[in-house]
Amino acid sequence: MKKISRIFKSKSRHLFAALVFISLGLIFMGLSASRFTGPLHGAAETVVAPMARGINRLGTALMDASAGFQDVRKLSRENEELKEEIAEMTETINRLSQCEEELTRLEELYRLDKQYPEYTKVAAQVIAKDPGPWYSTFLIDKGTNDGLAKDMNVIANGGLVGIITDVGKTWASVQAIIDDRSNISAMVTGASGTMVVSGNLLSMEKGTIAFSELRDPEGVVVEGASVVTSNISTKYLTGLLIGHVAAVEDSSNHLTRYGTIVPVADFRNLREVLVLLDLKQTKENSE
Amino acid sequence: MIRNAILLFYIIAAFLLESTLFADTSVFAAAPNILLIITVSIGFLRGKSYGALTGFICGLLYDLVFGPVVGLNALLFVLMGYISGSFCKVFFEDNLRVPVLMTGILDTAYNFIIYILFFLLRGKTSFFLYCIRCICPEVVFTVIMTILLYRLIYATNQLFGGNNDERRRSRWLSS
Repeated sequence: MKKISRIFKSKSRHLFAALVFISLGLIFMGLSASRFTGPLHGAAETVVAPMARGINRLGTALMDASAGFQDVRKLSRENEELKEEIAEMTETINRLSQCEEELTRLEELYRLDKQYPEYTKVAAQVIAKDPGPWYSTFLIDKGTNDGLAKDMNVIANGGLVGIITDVGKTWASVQAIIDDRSNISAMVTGASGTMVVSGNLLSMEKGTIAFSELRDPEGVVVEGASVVTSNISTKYLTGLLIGHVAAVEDSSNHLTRYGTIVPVADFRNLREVLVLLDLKQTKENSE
Repeated sequence: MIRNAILLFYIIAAFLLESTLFADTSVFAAAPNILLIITVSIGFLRGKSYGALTGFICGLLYDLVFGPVVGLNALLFVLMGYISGSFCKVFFEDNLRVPVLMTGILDTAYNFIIYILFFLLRGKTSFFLYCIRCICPEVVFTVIMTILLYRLIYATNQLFGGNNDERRRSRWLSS
């Protein structure tokens, strides 16, 4: 105790210099060998993750409670609508399952593998978000205990959400594809060329992300085309839906095209996500 | 001792609140930087040493959970705590205008540095757009939040300990 109070009685300049040096040391160590900060991460994890989870649960409970007070008439009308919708959907499902059966039969006939392998998934809750205006990073409540690892892909609403950049025992932080630092190699279904999809902080206000470097001399890619992760991407699994092309233009050299994409996932109300437990097989990690 | 424990509790509570409740973009346009408010307020109330140390804890906490580079926010927050601590000897602590003005200026400077390091250096040059979209909303929310929170931090500080040595030794404020 006495020691602590003596630190504060000594010149504040010394303490200041010490703290600055520690910070600088952490920065350089982090930049050179990123795994050095492991124990510190452990400390943060034990403090922050469980409490964030608790607050999240409280928030969800409050939201459910406030939803309970909504007008009964409105709810019953909604109920009617939903019943109709369910009827329609059952019909669609029946039709689709017939189609699928036919597809498997034909696939067997042609001895084709399924185009997209089934990935094993783990559901996770979003428990915290980066409060700053610059990044789109969020925490989820699953970690290495549930088999998560760095570079695993995260999806929601049927579309790609992001990639795990950091993982602890019971939490993982996910960098969203709308984050300004995110760059993904992607392709358009039905066209051959690849493109680079990059998150853009400024265009995200309008709900779009940017793409560029698309080689498409015939102009096959039009508005509304589906953009999926490409097979040459090193970290993203092949064929995950990113979004739909909203606008496409020729770049000034007329060799490549660029434009904007509306992502499928709803980033404003992200509550539950699915983590794909399969990692992309690359030359490095398969050896 | 109790005062420090409460301070630690405030830091963790602030961090949790700003990353869960205030970060919900469907409710708030921007999250106020509460860790910065605490750092600046403690620096102003209790001097350079406490300011720098509080800043270090706040910055490190943010870095470990979200930071792209561990240590960068710690460094910036230490600087901010130290700067606000150097005003400790010059103004009386019940002066609300000083911490409000200081959070405004320091939050702008902090975001400006983040912009330069992580956006300008990657060739994203449209500074005014970033200023309007990112920096301004956060600074406005942070300043509003300071008006509310400073009273709480000030009251807690008064309740457990009151005036500290650094202020009492001050040339400007001793009567």
